[in-house]
Amino acid sequence: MMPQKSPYRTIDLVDLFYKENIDLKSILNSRKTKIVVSSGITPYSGVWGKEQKKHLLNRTLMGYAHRHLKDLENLSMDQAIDLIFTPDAKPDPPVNDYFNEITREEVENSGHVYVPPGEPYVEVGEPSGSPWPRHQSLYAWIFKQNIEQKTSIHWKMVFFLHNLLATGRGSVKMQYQHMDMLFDSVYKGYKETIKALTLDPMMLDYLNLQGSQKDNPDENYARELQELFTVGKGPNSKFTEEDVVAAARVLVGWRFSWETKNKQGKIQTYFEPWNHDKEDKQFSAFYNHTLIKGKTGNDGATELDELLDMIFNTEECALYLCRRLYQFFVYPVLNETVEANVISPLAEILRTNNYDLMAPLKVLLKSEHFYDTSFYNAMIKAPTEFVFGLMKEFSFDLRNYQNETDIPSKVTDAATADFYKYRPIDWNINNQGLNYMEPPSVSGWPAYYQAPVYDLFWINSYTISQRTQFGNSFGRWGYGLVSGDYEGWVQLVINRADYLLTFEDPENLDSVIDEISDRLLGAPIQDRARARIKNQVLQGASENYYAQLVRTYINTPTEEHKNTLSNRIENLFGALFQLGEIHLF
Amino acid sequence: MKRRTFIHQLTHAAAMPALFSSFGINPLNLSSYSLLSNTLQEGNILIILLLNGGNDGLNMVIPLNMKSNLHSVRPQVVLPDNKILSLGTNDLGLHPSMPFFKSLHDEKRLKIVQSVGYQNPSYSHFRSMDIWQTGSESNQYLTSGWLGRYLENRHPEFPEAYPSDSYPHPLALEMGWNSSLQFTGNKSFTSIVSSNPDNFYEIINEFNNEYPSTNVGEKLKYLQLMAKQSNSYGEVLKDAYNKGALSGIDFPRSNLADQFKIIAKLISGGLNTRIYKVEIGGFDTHGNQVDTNDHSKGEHANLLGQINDAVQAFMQVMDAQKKSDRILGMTLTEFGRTVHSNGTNGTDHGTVAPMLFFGNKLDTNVLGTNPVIPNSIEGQFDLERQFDYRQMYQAVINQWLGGSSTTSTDVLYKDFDNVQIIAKEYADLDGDGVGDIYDLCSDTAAGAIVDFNGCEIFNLPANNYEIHTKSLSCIDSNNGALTIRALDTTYEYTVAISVIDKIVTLNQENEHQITFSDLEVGTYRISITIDEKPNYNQVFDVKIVEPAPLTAAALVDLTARTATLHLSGSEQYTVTLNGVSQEIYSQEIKLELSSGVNRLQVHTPLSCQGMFEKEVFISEKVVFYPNPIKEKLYLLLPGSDATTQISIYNDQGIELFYKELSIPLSRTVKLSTEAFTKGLIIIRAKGTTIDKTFKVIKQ
Repeated sequence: MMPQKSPYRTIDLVDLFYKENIDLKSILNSRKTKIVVSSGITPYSGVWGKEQKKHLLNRTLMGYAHRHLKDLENLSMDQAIDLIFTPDAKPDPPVNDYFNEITREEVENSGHVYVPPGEPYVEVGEPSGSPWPRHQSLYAWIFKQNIEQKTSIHWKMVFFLHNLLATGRGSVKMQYQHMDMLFDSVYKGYKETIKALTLDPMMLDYLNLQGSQKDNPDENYARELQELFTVGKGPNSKFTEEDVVAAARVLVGWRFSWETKNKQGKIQTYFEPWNHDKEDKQFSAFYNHTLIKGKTGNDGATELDELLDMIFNTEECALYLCRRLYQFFVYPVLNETVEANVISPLAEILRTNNYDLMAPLKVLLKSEHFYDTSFYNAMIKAPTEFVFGLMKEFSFDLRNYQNETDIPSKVTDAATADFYKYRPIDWNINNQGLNYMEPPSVSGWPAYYQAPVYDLFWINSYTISQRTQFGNSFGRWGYGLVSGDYEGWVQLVINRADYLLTFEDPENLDSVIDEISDRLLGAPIQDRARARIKNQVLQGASENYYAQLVRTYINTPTEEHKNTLSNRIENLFGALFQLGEIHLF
Repeated sequence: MKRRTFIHQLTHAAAMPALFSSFGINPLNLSSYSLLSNTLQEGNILIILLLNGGNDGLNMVIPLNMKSNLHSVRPQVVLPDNKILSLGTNDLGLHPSMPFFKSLHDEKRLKIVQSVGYQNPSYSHFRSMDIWQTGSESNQYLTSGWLGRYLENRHPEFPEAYPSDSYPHPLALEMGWNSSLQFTGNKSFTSIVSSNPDNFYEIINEFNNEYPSTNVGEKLKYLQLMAKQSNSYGEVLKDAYNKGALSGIDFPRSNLADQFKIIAKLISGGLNTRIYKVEIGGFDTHGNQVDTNDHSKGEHANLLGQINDAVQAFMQVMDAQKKSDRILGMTLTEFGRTVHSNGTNGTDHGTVAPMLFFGNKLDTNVLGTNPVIPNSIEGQFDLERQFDYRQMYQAVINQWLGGSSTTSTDVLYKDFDNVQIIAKEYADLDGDGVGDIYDLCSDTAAGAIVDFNGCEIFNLPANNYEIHTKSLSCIDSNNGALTIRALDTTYEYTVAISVIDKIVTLNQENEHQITFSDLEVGTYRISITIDEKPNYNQVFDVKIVEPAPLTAAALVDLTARTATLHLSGSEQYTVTLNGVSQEIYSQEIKLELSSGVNRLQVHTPLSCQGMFEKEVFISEKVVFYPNPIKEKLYLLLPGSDATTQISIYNDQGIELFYKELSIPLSRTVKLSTEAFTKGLIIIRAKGTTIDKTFKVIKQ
């Protein structure tokens, strides 16, 4: 495998982790003392309460929010799973909502194709790439889809595939086409997904099939196709170097057309018969000594289907995919018991269901194993789950602290508001170690595959301070969107006062802390932290005084009363968002 | 410009062993001082200046004897002869953008090492930089860095026991690209990064929580450790940064200068961190390395100029504050560039390059001979390597940072031929701060306290003493005890203990052991001296504590009708819910509540720990309709209450109505509201299993 270096400056979580000199040995020793969860995929029939629902939602959504729990309020487990496995609606492609950032002249002077405001840009020609605001617009659009997702696993699966089939370094058109392909793949068979992936322009470019020559076939994609995308590198995955070479020879000839990239329309992938290896390709015992007959002319294209049939005929392929599902959705640490009681039976289901990943996944998410309490809140959130979750949970106000009235209209106009609202997320999650469109390598993010550290990789002392800084400002003064027209900076601020009123008993501070912790934290708040936060909210005043503020706002909901209350509870949000417990899911 | 100063500075590498692990008592209750532990002094500092992209060494340090060949093989980039800053040493010159480095040379504060690299060079930026940073062979893949291994070697207790009294500051600090205005945080070796020290983040104070050995516990424990490291170093950085001053020196405006400026402020402000890294990129000058009209200008000249100006400002601050004796700067780049120039006024990836060191304590003889440049080049040509880069690391460890050849072999996995970087009289093999030439004891153990001759001052390890405490059995029982035992029985010790104001002796007679009993809660300072060793004094602060009071928090989930109790203060609790008791041995229990009043009590086997009591009222769910109301309001009151007390208030809280009503079989009561004025009214229904207040609008 050739590690791919991202052209962007990224935070190398693995590097940072090992700089911390963490005592991994003691972590591993303590893992050994834990009881092995031996339950299997028998349907779960225990208590179906809030904890179980939260666990299910945590693992199947791009960030948890209370609204999702409400969707499950009166549903049985089977009904909940049915709801979650309902596809999310396909969004309209993003349009030019970035026109305030760059003029037509600037676009055209840089050799880019201009797109009028409000018009879609994802199929526009890219003779020299796209202007940077268009990239930002696409990312903002993706984040919006994730944050506004229904109670559906759809976008989580997109991320699962995005991580498993990692690729990067694309133009806007390539990136959109790739994400679009992943979105459409979620409810298709995985074999079909792999075929689409093979022909995906961004992947063709990323792993060099695009430049592969029949006299010297590039092995990059041929290797990762096997090692990372299908049969994996488990102990029984015994494909050989010769298999890599043979697969590279099958694959040579596929490329996308630069002409279609430069013109209006989708980028087309095609097969070039003259650049295809017409000789026979012999595979090893691992693939049952399969011989793929060399074919001439356009028939050469069908060798890809034969290759995929051969790969998907191995036992190992389903095992590998089920391990990846398990590690992503349940818990990253595997052991023999899990292998026997969960992975093997799931793999059988995957095989008999024509490699539809949803089939074993549904069984897994209904299983006794999945609902074992030891897995609840047992993983560290990715920056996406942390930031998206907070974005989902609240409604917001726009504030310019320097000049209340200086809120540029572009931040509120329907045509551009989403661009400004969601654009900063890219920067924020990148600072926390996840660059959404540029996975660190073709293996995806190390948190999902690299033993034994796994999800601990998300946190080091740099990213923890980034997360707490984000949490603190998000809870208090909000996060910055764009500068005002004249002065100051427009902030997206949580509508704290109204959020408070959604609680059972907003006048009772203890019950408010209980309820908000219950929604946002992955573990009960520590007594000392609780006492500190309560003190910070009250600042010497009595609980009665606090209750009175709430009552006053309920009775007379003026802007002034709202602000008084909102300021009083600022510390509650600011402090809560910094707790370690908020990073568990 | 200041001449280098020859102040013989006494420095100590202050390392106290981490004490707590060797004691059989609760570490949180004990802290130790030695009279010498406040000698946290000013150690040698290493600054690594990373030149990203592969620096063209031949245009930085120019072999003047090869001028004519340089003109023939690299005509597109060769510097004009008359602009090169000749050093008058070894026929060498410096790039015209580096006048400060010329001054450093003239002041004997610059050392040049020629043709540094490694065998089987890699021409890949990433790979070659990895090699340099990890200290590996060309075909060896290491996952740790050489300085990381060095610091681990010297600080085996890191990171768990850090920051400690002796090492309150980060061991190393890296500045990087994510630079904001002031503090360019990329990553600290020991895990501190702040994007802005002024705003440095107070994460959380609750850093000493114990977590169970569950999956969740593992993650929380880990998060706490990271938060702790991040936070505690953050405070000292902020503190040092705020205290630091720049002696009126103006720093130029560049990213590199910003990085140097922060380091200058931190050192000035008393940060004892000894290893820093700063970074500048852009050296991958395949094209436009020089201006076509004037080869002394262009991208490469700009980069070297930035380095020159940043280092100048930094050294001026250090000189003004008399701290430059502590500084050793070292350049590092992944490779040099090709000897021949290419068609785009640039050079391509090469192999060896010169390294520069700056500081006051250098051996300034040029290492190596001038590279030999042929008069024509066809195909691949690489300069001959004269030094392995790890020879430099080895020299830095042995002569500057502190560490014997065993240390450097442990770190670099190999022995290399010695090269002299630091002048012999300053080289400090054992890192005790006394140069080898004056050091009468040249293999002092790391962290030992030494005198002017570099020899260890009499000291006994803190774990020469076993101190056991016995806590009070109950609050106010005043029966705590404290036992002190000295392990080394060759001395007679005098032990003074505060609070009870006693002075006793530990000797053969009492077998070097004494117990104080009937102690009250408090902090006792134990001061141990030895009469025949007048400078020796070991101090411990020991706490005698009483049992923690019982604390309990009940998390009530009104919807699920459960109460979760979080308990602390004991191993065993008796939990009583509505008269039914159970013994539990965990810190958490979930209880099912019933409708109406639930009485919860918790106590422990120690009656002096007190009792926790709580009443929780679980109301039946009341349904009311319609809302808003015109005339009649219907209340559906489930449960078993036979009667209910209805109170109605207006929005001012004034009671408008009160009546106790009996509940019919339909469990629906009807209220007439005609008498009330329009607006918000508040209704409370109260009985044995119901207590609900709700608001309705009267129209």
